[in-house]
Amino acid sequence: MSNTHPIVHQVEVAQVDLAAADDMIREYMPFIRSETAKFLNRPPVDSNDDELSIAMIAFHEAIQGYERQRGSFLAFAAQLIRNRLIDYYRKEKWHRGVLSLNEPVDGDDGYEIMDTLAEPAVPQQELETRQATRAEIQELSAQMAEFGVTFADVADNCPRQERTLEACRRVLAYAKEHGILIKQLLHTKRLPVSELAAGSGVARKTIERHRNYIVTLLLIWSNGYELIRGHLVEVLRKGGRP
Amino acid sequence: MIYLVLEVYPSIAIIVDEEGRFFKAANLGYEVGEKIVDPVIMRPVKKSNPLQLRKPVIGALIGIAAAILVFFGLRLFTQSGFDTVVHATIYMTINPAVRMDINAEDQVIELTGTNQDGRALIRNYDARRKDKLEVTEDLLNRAQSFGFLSEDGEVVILLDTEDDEAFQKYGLEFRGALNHYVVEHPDLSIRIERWEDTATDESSTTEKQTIPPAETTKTKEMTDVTRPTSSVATSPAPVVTTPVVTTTATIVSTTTASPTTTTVAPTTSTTAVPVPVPTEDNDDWDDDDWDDDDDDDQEDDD
Repeated sequence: MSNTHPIVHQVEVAQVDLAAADDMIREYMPFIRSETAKFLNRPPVDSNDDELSIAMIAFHEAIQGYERQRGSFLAFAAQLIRNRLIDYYRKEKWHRGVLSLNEPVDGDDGYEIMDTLAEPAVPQQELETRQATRAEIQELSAQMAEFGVTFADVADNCPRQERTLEACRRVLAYAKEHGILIKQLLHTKRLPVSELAAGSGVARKTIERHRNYIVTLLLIWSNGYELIRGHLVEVLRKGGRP
Repeated sequence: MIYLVLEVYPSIAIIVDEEGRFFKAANLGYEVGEKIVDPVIMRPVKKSNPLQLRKPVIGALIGIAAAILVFFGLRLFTQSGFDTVVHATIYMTINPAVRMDINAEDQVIELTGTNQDGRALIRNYDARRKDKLEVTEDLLNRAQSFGFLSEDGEVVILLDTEDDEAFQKYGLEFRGALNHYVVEHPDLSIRIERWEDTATDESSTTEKQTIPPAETTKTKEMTDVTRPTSSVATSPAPVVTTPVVTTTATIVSTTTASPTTTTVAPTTSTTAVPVPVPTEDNDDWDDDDWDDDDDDDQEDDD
């Protein structure tokens, strides 16, 4: 009974390791392409078809959601890919009748509508902002690594219910008012759970459960990261304390 | 809602919204630092909880499972070891268009008609577990007997493979297997091409990697046909947007040709280039000469 199919073992490894999941997706690209082609009734184009990206995220969902009692992994993944693509098409129905910028220009060899448009007014400023944001993100990622946290961990650990999200924002607001707690975090690399729980009135268990998320928020509000903070405008506004 | 892209992997991207919610989403060509709207966010698959099932439901499920087990058990007994992981996909267009998914052992996993004629062509034909070449030949024969393929017709075989190496391998196998078919039907044109993204830059699509036809004396004269953009296939499936020079039983890849490849196909769409033609007398010409050097949250709300 202990004869586990290699793919099941591979899925179980990929469930806890994002890089392994990515490797597995690369390995099973012919399968993903085939399932997408079945839906599109034509081969998907890597750089052009969003459907292929949707199929890839569906395969990722299949990895995360697979359990042995669900039967064959590939059948499970195929079903999820199909469902996802159907959902995507239903959603995209609203955009039908809208002209794509990638539509070819009639009678013009290889030209798309986008090619015939004037250049956007200030792309340079936008590029510079994006570059500066990227540098901040890289710096934050490196600082998070010192705490053993990655963005993928935070995405997995992020509260989904508004009430829990609100509680985490209260913790952040309290820490921001008492800067010594953030300094303590940076110095000891440990989240001062007891102080944050007592001061913010949020249950200790909630703070511990969402440790990665709270650590990331506190790092963002520790020093620098103006551009990231600029994006997260609603976090403190909704935290109850400006 | 606007989202900021924090991290990008080939398959997914990590994004954060303005309210501080982090998500995994489909990577639709994003860059780190980019601000996006309307992402395709990854949805957690609900874990199954067998304890929630009631006893009658469990009983019914056991019954169904037993029936399935008997059915598939027999299948497994007769088809043990059949690899059903798709390794490559082959599109064949005559007028009927079909798609063939094959496994690593070149056995057909699934054969689908992608247009009406294609569905008619494969009706009552069991391709499962058969070799891809055998199925291709069978389908060509069926296409002729059904009147889909005339003596001077054209067959386009598109190979959707992982890389160039696999394409070369399959291409040569197809060429070898279909050579006698071309001999028997000298006016028939068979093109073997690699399905490749057409949204690449112009330079990468105008050059072709070509493996010359393994022709016999009967088909020494090459039939060069310059094809316009849309005339590659009648099926909605394969689309090759750049003009392609067609040669009888020629294998063409639309990837960028590396300097070391044995490129003998014309690099422009209108030039007919003489191709070294192996004949029956020229036995020392073999495939090796054409080797290619050529990628819920379980919330506790307390």
